[in-house]
Parts: sequence; C-alpha cells; structure tokens
Amino acid sequence: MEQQINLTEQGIIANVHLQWSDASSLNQLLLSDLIELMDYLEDESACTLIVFQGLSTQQQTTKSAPPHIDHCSKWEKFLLRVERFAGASIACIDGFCTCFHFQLALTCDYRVATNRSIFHAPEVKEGYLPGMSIFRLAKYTGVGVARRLLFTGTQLSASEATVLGILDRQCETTTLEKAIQESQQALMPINPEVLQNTRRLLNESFATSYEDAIGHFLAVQNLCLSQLPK
Amino acid sequence: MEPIIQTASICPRLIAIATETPSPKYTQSEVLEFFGITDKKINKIFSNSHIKSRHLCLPKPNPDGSIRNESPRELLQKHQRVALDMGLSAIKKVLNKAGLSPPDIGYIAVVSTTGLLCPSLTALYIKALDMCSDIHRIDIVGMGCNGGLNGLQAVVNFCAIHPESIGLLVCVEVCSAMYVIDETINTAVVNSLFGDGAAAAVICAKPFPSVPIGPKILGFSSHIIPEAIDAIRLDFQEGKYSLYLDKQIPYLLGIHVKTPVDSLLQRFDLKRRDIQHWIIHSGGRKVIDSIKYSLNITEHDVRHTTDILKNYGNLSSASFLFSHEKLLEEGVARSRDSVVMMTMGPGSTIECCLGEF
Repeated sequence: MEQQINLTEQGIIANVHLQWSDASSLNQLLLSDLIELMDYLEDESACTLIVFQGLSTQQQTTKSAPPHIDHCSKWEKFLLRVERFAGASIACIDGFCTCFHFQLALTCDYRVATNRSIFHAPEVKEGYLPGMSIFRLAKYTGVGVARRLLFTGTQLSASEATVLGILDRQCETTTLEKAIQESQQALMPINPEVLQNTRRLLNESFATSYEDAIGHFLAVQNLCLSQLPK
Repeated sequence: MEPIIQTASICPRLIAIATETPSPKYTQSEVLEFFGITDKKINKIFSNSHIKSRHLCLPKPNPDGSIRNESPRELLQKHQRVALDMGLSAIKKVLNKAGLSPPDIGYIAVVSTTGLLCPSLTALYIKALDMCSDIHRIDIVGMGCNGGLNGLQAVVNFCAIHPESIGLLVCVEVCSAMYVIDETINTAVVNSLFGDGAAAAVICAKPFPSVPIGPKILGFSSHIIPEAIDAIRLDFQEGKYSLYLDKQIPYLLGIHVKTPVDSLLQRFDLKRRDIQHWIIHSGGRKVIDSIKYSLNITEHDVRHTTDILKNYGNLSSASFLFSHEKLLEEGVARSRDSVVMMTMGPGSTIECCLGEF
C-alpha cells in the first residue's frame, strides 16, 4: 500500500508531508493514518508545531464522487483534533488548494502559500457541503464573503486570499522553504496550552456573551499564570 | 498506594438513579425579595450566578411579613424533616425503577453534610422503609460536595465483595437548613448558590436484564490538596454553621484537576479524548469553567452539569447523581462508552470515578 503520510520531526516541529494527490477523495486508509498521526503527536511526540505540506496539487482536481458520510464524520474528528492541538499548526500551499486540502488548511493556525497558489471550494456547486469549512471560512472572511465564495465556486488567488484574511504569508515559489521557516519562527516560542486555550477562546468569541467570556478568560488566565516560572 | 480498582470479573454497575426535591422553588430574585435584600453588590452576585431557580425550604414569614430568624434547633429539625421526606421519596422512586423493594437492599450508604443526626439517616430510613434488620450501612457526614463519590465507592466496594447483594446510595442535602444571613460577600455567594435535593442510586454486580442500566464502575481516584484545607470549610457563627468558600477555589481546582483524572484514565490505558461522557459536580459557574478549560472538554460535555446548576443550584453531594440521571434519561450513551464522574469539595478534594456503559 502506498505511504500516504510522511512524518519527520526536528525538535518540537513535526513536518507532515501528505502524499495525497486527489484533494477531492477521502479513503478509510488515509483517515486511519491521519488519526494515528494525531494519536502519536498528542501522546508520544514532543512536537508543539505541526507543519502540513502537500496541501496542494499542480493542476486542478477534476470532479469526483461525493464523500461517504462516515468518512465525513471521521474527517471532521481529525480536523477537530488539529484544531484542539496543544500547540500550533501551519499549512504550506504551492498550487491548487481545494476540497479536503483547503478544509485542512483552513483548520490550521497559519497558512503560508506561494504567489501562484489558487484556493477553491467547489463542493456546493457539485451538490454537497465543503465540510465544516462553512463554519471556519465564515470566521475568516465574514458570512457575506464566505457565502459568495461557496455559492459561486470562485477561485481565489493568493493575493485575494491574503486580502480576505485566509492567507497569512505569501512568497515566491522559489522562496517557499524560507517562508515556511520564517512562519515557524514567527510562532515561536510556543506555549502549548496557552495557544490551545487562546485558539479556543477566539473560536468561541463570536458566540459567547461578555458575561460568560470574562469567566472563561479568568479560568484560562489562571491556568496560564500557574504555569509560568515562579 | 495501590490504586482503587474493581477486578475485571466483578464490576458493580449503576442500575438506576432517582431524584427528589422539596416543592417550593424560587428564582434568584424571589430569594432576594423573600429576605428583603436590596444591596446592589449582593443582587449582582445572585444575578451572575448562572442559576435560574432552586428548590429551598425557607421559613414561613411572620404575620407582619418579616422573616423569622431560624434557631439552630429549628434548622436541625428542618434538616431531619426534609432529609427524611426527600430521601424516602428518592429511595422509593429508585427502587421502583429497578423493580426492587426495601428488603432487597443489603447495603445502604447515606451522604449528607447539612445536619448531624444521631441516630443517623441510615437508621431513620431503615426504620421508615422496614428494611431488613441485618442490612449493612454507613453514614458519610461532613465530607461536603465531594461526598457523593466517596459514598459510591463504599457501595461499589461492598457490592464487589458481595456480588449477590444490592447496594443503595443516598445523597441528601438540605442546604436551606445550614445558612446564615449577614452583609458579607462570602455569605452572599453561598446563599446564592446552594439548593435542596436528594438522589438515590441502586448499585449491583448482578445483571438486571429488565432495567435499562447505567455504567459499570471500573475504578476511582482521589486527589487532596492539603495546602488548601481551609479553602472550603464550615465556620460557627452565632450558634449556626456557616459555609466559607475561598474565592480562589475554582482556579485551584482548575490547576489540580488533571492529576486525578489522568491518573485514573492511565490505569485503564485511556486518554481524555476516549471519554464520551463527563458528569461533573455543579459547583458553580466558575468551577465548571475552570474544569472545562483545564481538561479541554466542551460546553456540550458539561451540558448536564450546567443544566443542573441552572435549574437546581449546587446540590452538594447529590449534584452528580442529578446530572447522571439526566444522562441516563437522554439515552445517548452506547455500549462501551466511557464516563468520568467528578466531584469536588472540602479538603480540598477532587474525587473521580470511571465507568463504562
């Protein structure tokens, strides 16, 4: 069976190279590998920064069969674990970033892409939903823009994605590796639980009243302060 | 210390849970109005409590509308009367759910902190229900909010040693029989928080094929924080008990809660992500928030905990059984699902229990 995930670790950085050429296709083996990957990163690895590479292809994906609902459920569980990871995650994009690649990229904390990259969510046009991207995309762009992108299936250039807040860093194709390293440095030092809870409070911010949010903040702040060196 | 763990072959199971409250129910503003409290700070504490209503046995007003200052004797009498009423009703309900009658019970543990009685509540319940004279019993008094899981542990241990026997756990708290009224913020917090309630649970290692049952109990863990021994305590004020809650308690629990949870799960080769159901003591909104963010569990995970807090207040040792009853009624737990029960209280203590449906 073809290896679909290649993991290399350098200190606290886990480089995850996805060998996943068809971004519109999920299979059980890949899902199992992704869950195993998260089990390892959470339980055994010293990693606090996951760098996903291989979230793009060099040509546009052709239309394919809709995903199986069981796969959708497992995929979202995987994304949730990325989103709840004690640490940070970076998505690296160089080419067409669409379907499941785009969904994973949106789940990451930081996206770096080459100027030639294209972002595309074609699922609605094909008669089904782009996973919980509906939920995540709207948080980056606002509901109106997200609706336009999903309803029209508009392809976004890297520059347009930057303007909409989807992309955090743009670079030339030849300087992608340097841009990835600079992105990693930008996130250092990583305080895993602080990032985990900051991300959570940010995600909850649109749906939480100030009265509830202040209680959440104080609970988290206390945990953070208790872990600072005395 | 050897971990407290049930052997794989004899795992007593929670068979059924039933709850009871006294009839009178008050919103937070009704409680303030009842006692004629107009202080803005105290009003704010009540309105920010995340509690909508509580069942309380408040004194009958005097003919002129003023509120009688209940004497220590009257409070203890109230404790006995209400604990008997609520407790007996909860016991009858749970026995009915499990298809049992009082003589079927071989062991009874009663947990309560809101009054000291001698003879104790176990003796009073046994007499009132005409239970067998050779029944084994224990009263767990003064352990506060965490006591429910200490009581469950006693019943589970008995049932594991006596697999043919049926155990009964009763948590009964008449919080309106243990209060003072003064101008302090601590008293306002306490008086805004607690409610009256009783819960009973049947535990047994034998199968109950005709009853939709709860989880088998796999093990317990406990974590005491001696440096915070005074953080939750009963003081004595003008002849009455008054509860003191340190304002740092929610944060202290948040810092320590991972220790007993993760050590319990580790014994069973589980991670927090493997737990489908969380039953956490409804100690107050700040406590729930601290636990939630410390364990990285969701608002959905604590839905029953917050629901019980909202509609009943903090029911002390009975809270976790009220939440557990909601989970069983919800009918979402599937075979092999794992549940963690957690209670917190004086000591300061965190008690945990792992179950499997």
